Amino acid sequence: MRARRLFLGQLAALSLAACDKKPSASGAPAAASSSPATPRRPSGELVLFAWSEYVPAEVIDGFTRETGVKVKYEAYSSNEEMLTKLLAGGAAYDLLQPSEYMVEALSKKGKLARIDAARIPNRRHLLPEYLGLPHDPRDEWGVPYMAGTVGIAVNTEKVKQPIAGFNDVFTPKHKGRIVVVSDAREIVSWAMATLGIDANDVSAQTLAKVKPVLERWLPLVKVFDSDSPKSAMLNGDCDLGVVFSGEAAALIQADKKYSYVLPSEGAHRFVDYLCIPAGAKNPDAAHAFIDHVLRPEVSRLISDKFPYTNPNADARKLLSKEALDNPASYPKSPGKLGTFRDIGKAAADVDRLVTELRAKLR
Amino acid sequence: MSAGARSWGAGAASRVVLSLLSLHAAVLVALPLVVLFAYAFADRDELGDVIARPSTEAVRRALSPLYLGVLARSLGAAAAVTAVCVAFAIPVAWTIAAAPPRWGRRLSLLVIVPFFTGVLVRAYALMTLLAADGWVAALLRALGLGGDSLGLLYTPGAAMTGLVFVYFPMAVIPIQASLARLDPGLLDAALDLGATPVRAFVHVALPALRPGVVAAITLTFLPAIGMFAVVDLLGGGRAPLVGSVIASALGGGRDWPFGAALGAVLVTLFALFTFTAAARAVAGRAEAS
Repeated sequence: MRARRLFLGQLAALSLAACDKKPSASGAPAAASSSPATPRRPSGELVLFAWSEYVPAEVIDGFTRETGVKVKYEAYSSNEEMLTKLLAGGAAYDLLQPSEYMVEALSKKGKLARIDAARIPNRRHLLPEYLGLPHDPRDEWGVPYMAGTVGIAVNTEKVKQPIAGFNDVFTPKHKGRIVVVSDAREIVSWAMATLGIDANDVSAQTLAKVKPVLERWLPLVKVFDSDSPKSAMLNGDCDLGVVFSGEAAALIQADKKYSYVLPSEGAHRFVDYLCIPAGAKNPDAAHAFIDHVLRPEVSRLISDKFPYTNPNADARKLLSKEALDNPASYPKSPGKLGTFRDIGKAAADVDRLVTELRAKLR
Repeated sequence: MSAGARSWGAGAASRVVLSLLSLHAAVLVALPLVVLFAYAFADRDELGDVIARPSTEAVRRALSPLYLGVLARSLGAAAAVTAVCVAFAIPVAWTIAAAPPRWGRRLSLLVIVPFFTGVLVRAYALMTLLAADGWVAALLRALGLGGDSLGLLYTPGAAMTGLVFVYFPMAVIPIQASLARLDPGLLDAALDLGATPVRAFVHVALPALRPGVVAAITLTFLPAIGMFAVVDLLGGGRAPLVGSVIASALGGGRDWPFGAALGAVLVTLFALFTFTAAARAVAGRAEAS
């Protein structure tokens, strides 16, 4: 669903980060961040089931160096793919990386183990706005990893008039120049935003209102691609994209002619979590890994490689000015941002609506 | 005595091979088919797990006019891809067969070389060629053809080109194999006896090529119907073919019964296609004898 294939251009920054081991700036004892708060030492092997290209090798290698725990990184490219493999039950995972609505769906079904907050002292580095979100009000089931938005990427050399929202993108004038992520829930939420309907208010009635909007919009779209939507813009085939912010951030890094706009009608913010599945074989190592990732100097490595929005306040202090100024990673005026909730069986109705509208395209 | 021992050994060997093949067919073909058809008539829960409650909803949806239209479009695309592949494969195979053995081997290696890389790598390679700022567009522009926006990539034509690119070797190899069995003396005889080259080709070469062409069509047409990755990458995923619909039903849609129902429809079509072809082959042989 979310594309994690980004440029390797930020590698230079990593060599600097590797020797940066000063204690965090929050004034807490340094010991708390360098040794686990629990007497149980992690050992053995950790099976990490995460988005492809979303956990830098430096982070994994650093964890193995410090703890001796070997990490097996298995990758997926959508929440639903992860769910399918988790439910199939063929493999035993110790850590998952679902987005917020999937955390909710999994916890409702008893597929997650509770996070033991006492063993994650580094959680204090997180920004309060990423805690207590509606899908998990008590932060029992996951710890935020990275976040981002879905917004509009514009090639300002080709598109001269200002683009403020979805209604400016989906006009007949832009027919054949638009790329969008191939994700039914996303696409439907954009139409809902222009209609003033909450993205989580999915019902037969709201979908009936969405349908005529999408009937106008979808024929204008040239490319549906979730894996690397920026490619269609980079190679000149599309000038407008509704894409994940990390993709837009990479476009802006490549060329300043690209800009990123959060739609005025309201945009979707996603938060990806680290969660421990129920029945994980090595919860000790899983807790240790989560705490490791939350260490500011480690979390900063993730931002360097994958310019999504870092929810870690103290890691942000370590980022370059250029990284913090990238409007796709850190929007100046975010406006209306909402997260997705689990909508249960209605997810299939959403998928059906978009699939059937696309099947009618020529 | 020794002949008897040899035939006993051969018999045992073939029994072993036969039982292994049957096991393979039972475990990897029959069993999945049973699951496929069972899922097609099952229901699912909130998370998309298949549950053992009979339902015909998925099958009815798969057979609705909308998805029959998608299926028809997929069959049409696969047929066009197959036609192009076979039309080009015959002269290529012929050239390889007619070349001196040393060159023939080199040429067949060239046909096989694409298999050294993955299908997706080849699709991405085509994408860079066909992109708006790619080589093909640059070449056409240099020749004064096409304007500023050629729009080669992300079109049905690009998707078809990708499929031809992927399946072309599958068409060449069996045709080449059946050409190898064609006695060149027969063609010489036809020409000596006054047949025009076209006539010699149609009456002597084509009948010999037939099994190869049938194999080429099967190896190209059937997989091309279900291919989705290449089609989505090069075609822009705009109007999905049946393979993409199945992939999204099993993935993002988390609707396994529907994916299974579409799969069941396809398998039924494949079976009909194969049985009809086999029945015609048997009838043809009976006629010939």
